[in-house]
Amino acid sequence: MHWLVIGFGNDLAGDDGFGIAVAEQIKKRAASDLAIQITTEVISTRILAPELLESISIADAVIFIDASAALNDGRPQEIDLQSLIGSELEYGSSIFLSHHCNPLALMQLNHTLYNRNPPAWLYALGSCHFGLFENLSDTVAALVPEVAAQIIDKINKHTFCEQA
Amino acid sequence: MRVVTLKINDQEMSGREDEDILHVAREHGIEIPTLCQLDGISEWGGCRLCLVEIEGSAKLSAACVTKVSEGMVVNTESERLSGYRKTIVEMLFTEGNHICSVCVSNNNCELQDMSSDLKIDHISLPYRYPARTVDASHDLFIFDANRCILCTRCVRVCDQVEGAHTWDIAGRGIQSQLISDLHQPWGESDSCTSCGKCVEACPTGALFEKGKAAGEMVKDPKFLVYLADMKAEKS
Amino acid sequence: MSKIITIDPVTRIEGHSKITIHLDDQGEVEEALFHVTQLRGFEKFAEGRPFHEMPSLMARICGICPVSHLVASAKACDMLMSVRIPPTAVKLRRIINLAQIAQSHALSFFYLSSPDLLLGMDSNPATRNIVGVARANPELARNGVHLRALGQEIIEILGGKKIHPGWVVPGGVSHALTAENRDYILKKLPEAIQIAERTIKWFSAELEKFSEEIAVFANFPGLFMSLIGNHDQLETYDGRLRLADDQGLVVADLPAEDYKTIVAEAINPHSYLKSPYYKPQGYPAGLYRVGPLARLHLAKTCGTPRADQALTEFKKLDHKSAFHYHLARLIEILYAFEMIEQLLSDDMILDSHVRAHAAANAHEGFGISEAPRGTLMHHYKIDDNGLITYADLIIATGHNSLAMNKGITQAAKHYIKNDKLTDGILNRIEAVIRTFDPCLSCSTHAVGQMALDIQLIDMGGTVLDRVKR
Repeated sequence: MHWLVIGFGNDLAGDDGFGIAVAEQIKKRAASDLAIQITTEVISTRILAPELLESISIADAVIFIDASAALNDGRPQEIDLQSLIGSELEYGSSIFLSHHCNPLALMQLNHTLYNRNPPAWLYALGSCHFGLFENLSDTVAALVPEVAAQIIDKINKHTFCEQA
Repeated sequence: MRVVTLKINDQEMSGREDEDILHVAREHGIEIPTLCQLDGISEWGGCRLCLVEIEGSAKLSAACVTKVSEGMVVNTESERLSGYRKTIVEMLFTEGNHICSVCVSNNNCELQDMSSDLKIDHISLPYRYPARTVDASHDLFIFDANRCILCTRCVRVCDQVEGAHTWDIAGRGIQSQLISDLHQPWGESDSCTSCGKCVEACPTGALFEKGKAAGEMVKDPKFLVYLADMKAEKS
Repeated sequence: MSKIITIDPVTRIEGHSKITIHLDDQGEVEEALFHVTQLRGFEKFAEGRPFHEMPSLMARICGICPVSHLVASAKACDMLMSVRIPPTAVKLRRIINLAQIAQSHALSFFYLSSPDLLLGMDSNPATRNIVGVARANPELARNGVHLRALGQEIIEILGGKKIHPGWVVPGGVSHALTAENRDYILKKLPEAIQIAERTIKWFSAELEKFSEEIAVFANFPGLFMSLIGNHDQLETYDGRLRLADDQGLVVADLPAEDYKTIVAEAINPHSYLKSPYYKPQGYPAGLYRVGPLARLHLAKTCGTPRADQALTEFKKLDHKSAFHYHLARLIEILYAFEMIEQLLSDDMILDSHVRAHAAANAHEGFGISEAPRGTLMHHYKIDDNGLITYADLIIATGHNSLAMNKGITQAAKHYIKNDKLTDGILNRIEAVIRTFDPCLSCSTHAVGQMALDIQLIDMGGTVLDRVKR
């Protein structure tokens, strides 16, 4: 099973760098954890561009990590994207600009273009502090290892359950 | 030489009485931020980043020029200290023109590293945008005053190690500037031996080798310690 | 009463701009103007800087085509150093420049223009985007994603970074290519070449649907300009500068660095974009076009077998119409990947000698190369110490300034017959601009849906009609 983890956001915009921080943490872990290293590709990126479909289209499961201004919850939420694929509500032009798009749009495109609908989750963190600074706020920084561990657990559980 | 015992950040330690707080702390694994300090040349105490709190004294002291003493209790980390340190570095940024992305020293810069260590990601003071010039008259090196933080490491290394004393500071306060010889273009300096020690000692991209593109200037002033050691052995 | 229609901002292009359409007393279109509303000022703040900094500084002009600026700037610096850079460095610079052209063209064609081309100019604006394209023709969308991703990947492999790579430096490139990276890229090229070829075939067959657009999208006689190789072949990195009219009659052919003898720049009050023109014919008669259309118009051959086949077909079209910029872009994508394959197959491509070192040896340097959108010109002067005293750039999009204005005027005159505005009409006028793929050097885009607000305003400033989406 091939996993793809995509942490995204602007690390120059305060807590918007949350996704990148988690992805980097998982990359570090992968350096010493052979199971993660073999099963998982980790990408950290400022924006979600359609070119990511090249990686998404060959993944068996995809996890996005993001900080969101739209959510109020200070705890990371796990949103099941697979169940939303096919629902028409998110498929408007507003979600897709020429240079970047959102996770659901990417998974929708993955479905439309490559006829694939793998399990996909978005870990979104609300109550974030955005602004022109490079560091995460203390509360958000404290969540980075926790969310990274949660994702690694998820990957391991699926991988080993599948083998068993 | 007498050995004294003291406490730094609640840690008991000992040091020779001719040692300063900065070096005793470092020997015991406690890092205090510095910019003007460089091993192998004299201490100056100018950048004020190594300010520490000493119990019983209301004023702050520069760790690099304050000798340890018996029973001294030193604190190197506090909200007050980190506030001062941040402001000092912010002032360095606003006082000159520092544009990392096109700088020869990008990713190899002590000022950049310092702001990262101090978690400075925003400048709250107004920029001054001074009109400063670049002196590229030397055959091998360039001095870009925009990136100079007046740490005087070049002045000291040129005077104390090379013995040329090409560099010095002219003017006072905000007018202070680094000059070569009697304020003439570096390339016309009679005293400069073109040894390049000032370039290696410079913590930013203010002094660099000609021909370097952005991010290509990597400096390593560690050799100054060996030179100082060898000198000490001889005398 | 005369009226002005404003399209602000123009969507699906790179940067920020607006269009105003001026109507006369009879409600007929008098002229249309393309306004570039952003100002950068790079030429000024380069002054006083060491010339070795120029490539990385100038690359910051644009987050979309930093590679093009790196290449032109580094070439100008080579000239200041008076060095002949190692042949392998030339080839490597050629490759990164071609990869930039391919990825930029893929973005323009597949992401920005294909919604109009595939779904129709009058289709519902809500789905007239890449998502709509994905549904209507998944293969086309997949191909766009693949070609752009490969172009970007090649840039990243060579330069170490997708955006703002620092690899191209005065005197050559900073490090040699590894065998592993060469083989990796070579393995990926055949598929890209096939895709480009298939897309050309598909789009050529579609062209008959667009006969009206072809006739009025900036379709007028005039001059074309581009670099050209020694054997009159397509050239994107070096070569002579040539201008010819729409019939192919060459009016100027000169060393590229002499461009100032034939090109002058006019300043318009309505736009921050300067308008270069061909001096002998004066302003604004000396209008000329640059970019893929001009390059293919002037080139006798591409120098790669498949692109040459496509070029033969292209020459049969009424290719003075800006609508054919689209097909020209596809042919150049094919050419770019074929040429990268040729260059990578060179025995010396892994040579470790890729950089020449020198101090400033000349006081003036020119760097001229072909960016995706046309001829890019960097001109620097330095003092004895190598500090910049003067910088002057002509950006590809600038050359097309006059042609874009004339082009939207032509389209507006054709489509706007009375006060009635429809989305389809205005989209066509925007689409004229999109054929030129102007890059207005935006570094940031606001997040959210791009608004299109068209207003019909009379001389007194009263809004007569308004269309919003």
